[in-house]
Amino acid sequence: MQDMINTVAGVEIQDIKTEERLQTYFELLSRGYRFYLFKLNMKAPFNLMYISPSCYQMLGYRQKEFYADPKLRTSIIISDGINNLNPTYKYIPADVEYVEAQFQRKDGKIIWVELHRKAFYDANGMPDFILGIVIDSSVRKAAELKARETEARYEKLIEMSPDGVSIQKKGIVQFVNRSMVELLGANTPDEIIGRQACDFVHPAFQESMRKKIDDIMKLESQLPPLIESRAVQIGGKIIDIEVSARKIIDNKNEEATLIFVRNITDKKIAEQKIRDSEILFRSTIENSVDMIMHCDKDGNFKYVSRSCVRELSYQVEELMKINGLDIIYSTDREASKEVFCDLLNKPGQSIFQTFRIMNKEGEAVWIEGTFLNLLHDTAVNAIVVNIRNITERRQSEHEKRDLYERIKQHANKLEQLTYVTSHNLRAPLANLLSLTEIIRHAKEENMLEQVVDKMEISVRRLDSTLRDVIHIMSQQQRQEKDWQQMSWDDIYNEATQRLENQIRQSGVIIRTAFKDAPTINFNRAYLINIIQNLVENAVKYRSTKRPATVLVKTETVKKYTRLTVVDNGIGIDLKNYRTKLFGLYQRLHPEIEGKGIGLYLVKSQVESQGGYIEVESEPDVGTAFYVYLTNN
Amino acid sequence: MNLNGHSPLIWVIDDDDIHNYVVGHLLNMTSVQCKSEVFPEAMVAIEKIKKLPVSDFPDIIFLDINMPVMNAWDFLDMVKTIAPDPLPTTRTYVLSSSIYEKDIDKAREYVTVYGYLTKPVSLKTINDVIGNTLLPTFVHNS
Repeated sequence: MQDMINTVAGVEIQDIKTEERLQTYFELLSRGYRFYLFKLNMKAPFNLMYISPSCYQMLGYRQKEFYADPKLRTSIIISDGINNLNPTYKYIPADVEYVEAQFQRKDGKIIWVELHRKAFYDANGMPDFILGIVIDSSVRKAAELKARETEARYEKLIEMSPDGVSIQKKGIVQFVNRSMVELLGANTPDEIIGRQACDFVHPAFQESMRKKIDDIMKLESQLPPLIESRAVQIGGKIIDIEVSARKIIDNKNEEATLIFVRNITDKKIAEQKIRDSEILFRSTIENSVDMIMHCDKDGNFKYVSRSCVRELSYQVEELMKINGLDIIYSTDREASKEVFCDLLNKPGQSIFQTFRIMNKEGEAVWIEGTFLNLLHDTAVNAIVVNIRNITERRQSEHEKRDLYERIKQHANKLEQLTYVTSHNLRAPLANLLSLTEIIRHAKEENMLEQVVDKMEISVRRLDSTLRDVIHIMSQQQRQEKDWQQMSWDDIYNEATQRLENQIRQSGVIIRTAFKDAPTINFNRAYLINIIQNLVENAVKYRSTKRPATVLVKTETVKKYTRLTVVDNGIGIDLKNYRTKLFGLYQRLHPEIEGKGIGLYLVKSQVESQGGYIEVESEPDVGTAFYVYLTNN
Repeated sequence: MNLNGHSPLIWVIDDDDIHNYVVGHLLNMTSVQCKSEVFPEAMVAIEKIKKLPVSDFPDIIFLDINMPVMNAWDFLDMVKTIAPDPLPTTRTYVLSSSIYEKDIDKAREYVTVYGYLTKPVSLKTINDVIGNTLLPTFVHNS
C-alpha cells in the first residue's frame, strides 16, 4: 500500500499531465480498494481534489452529483481520527500513516474506514497535497465493537454475580469480582489480587482442594463437580464454601483457572439446624412414655419408638418384622382389624381406640391411643400410631371399683342392720311402755302379775336383740384375720360339735364327702359359722314325712371351692321368698324357732371374702345351698 | 265410717304377742264398745279378706310392718289384688315400732293406708282412731 502511494505521488509531482493516466490507474486498482486523493493548499481552504469512483460509490454518490456540490468535498470526512477536518486541515502527515477515520455517507450514516495516507510537498517545501487510500472497515469495526460490548457485558455479569468469581494463574489470583471481595472479607480487590489463592483456603482443606482443582483442569469437562470446602476470610473468620472451577485460556493465550465460589455457611447452619431439630424430635419420640409406631396399610411396622421395647418386651428389630394386627390380643383382634380397615378409607382422619395387645411373653397389655391415617402424606406415608400402656391404670380403676363395691356393700349392710335393730330394739321397748300404761289403768289386782310376766319377756327380748347386734357386729369386725389352711373333715367336726345333741335327737342322717376338695384356706371363724348355720337349718327344717338325710360335700369349681349342703326337708317357696331368704331378721317359718339372722350372717361372711351363695329348693322336696368360697 | 248404732270392727295384724295383749286391753277401755280380731300371721288375714264381701270388711286395721313370712308391704300389695283399692270402708293404720323415715315414706305410697302410728300406742290414740279425730293422718309418735 505504501509503495503504491509513493509511486502515485512521485509521478504526479513530476508531471501534472500524467494525472489523467494516473486516474485511470487508480480506477483499475480500486476494484478492491477505495481511494481518495486531495490536494491541500496552505493558502486555500481544505479541498478534496479527487475521489475515486469506487469511493464515491461507497458513500452513495454519483460522480456528477459529488463534484457538483463543492461543500461535499469538505463535509464527507467527519474525522480522520486525529483532527477535526473542518474547516481547515492543519495536520500534515510526514510519512505514510494509518488511522481510523469516519466518513459520512449520502444517507447520513457514518462509516468507519481505514485510512492510509501520506503528505506531499511542492518545490518550495510547502505542503502541497495528501494522497490517501480508503478501505471500508465498517464491517470489521462493527464486529470489533460487538465483541467489545459482549466482553463488557460479560464483565458486568461477572461483576454483578452473587457468586464469587476469580481468575488465577499458577496459583496467583489475577482477578476477583465484587462478590469475591465481599466473600473473602476484603474491602477492595487489591487486597486479594496477586496473593496465593490457597492463602484463602482453610489449612485443613488446602491439600484436597489443590488436588481436586488439578483434576478438574485435566478433565476439561463441561460440568465440573462442586467441591465443598472452607475458606478463611481476611479477618480470619472461617466460612463454608462451595467451589467450582474450569480451565480457560486468557487473552495472553495462557492457561488460567476460572473459579466460582459460593458462601454456603448459612445453608450449612440451616442444614445443621434441621439435623438438630430432627435429633431433638427423634429423641423426644424415643424417650416418650407413649409408644409411637408407623405402619403401612397392611399393618406392618415401618417405625417403632424405643418405648415400645419397654412396654412390649419386643426388640425394635423384632417388631419391624411383625405385623401390628397379629399382636392384637385374640379377643380384640377382629374388632380392631375392622376399625383399622375402616380408617384406611379415611385419609387424614384419626380414631381413638382402647384394646389389648400381647407383649412378647404373650401377656395382655391394655393400651389406648390414636391411629392417624397419613398414608396419603408423601412425607409420612403411614398410619401413625400413638398409644400408651394403661394396664396399671385399668387395674387401679378395677381395684377402685372393687373397693367401692365393697364399701357400698358394707354401707348397705350397716343400713340394714341399723334399720332392723332400730325396729327390733324398739319393739320390746314400746311394749314395755305400753305395759306400764296398762298397769296405771289396771282395775283388777290379779292382772298385775300377768303384766309383769309380759314385761319380763319384753326385757329378755330386748336383751336378746342387743346380744344379736353385738354378735353380728363382732362377726363382721373379725374380717380378714384368722386365715388358716384347714382340712374339711376337721372343720366340719368342730362346727357340728355344738349341734351334736340336736342332730342325734332329730334322727337326721348326715353324709359328708370332702374327697374332691379336702382342704381350704379360709377364715376359720366364718367357716365354722357357715357350716353350723347350713347344717342346723337342714336339721331344723327337716320333713316329718320321710327319713331326713343331709349331704355335705366339697369340690373345686373354677377358682372356687364349692360347699354344697343338700337336704330332703320341707323346702322353701323361692318364688315368693328368694329376696327375703338371706335378709336380716327374716323368718319364713313362723312355726319353727329362729331369729332370722343365720343365713344373713352366712351370706355376708361369704361375700366379704369374694365368694357368693346360691340356693335351689322346692317346697316339700328339699333344699340345696351352694356356697362358692374363694380358696386363697 | 258411720259408727251410729254399731260397734266398730277392728283387725290387729301383728306377730308380737305382747303387743297384741296390750292392744286387747286398750280396746277394752275405749269409750266406744268395739269388736276386735287378732292375726299373728298376715297371710291368715288375706285368706279372710278373700272370703268376705266388701260390706263385711273391718272398719279399722292396725298393721305391723315387720312380720315373718309376710310383712306389711307384702300384705298391702296382696290386698290390692283381691279387693278394691283403696278399701272403701276400711281405715288402715300402719302400727309399728319402726320410726324409720323410709318406712313412713313407704306407707305413704299406699293409697289405702290412712295413717302411720308408732308403738307404743296409747289409749288416747286408739280413742282418736275410733272417733276418727286423729290429725294429721301420719303421726310419728302417738
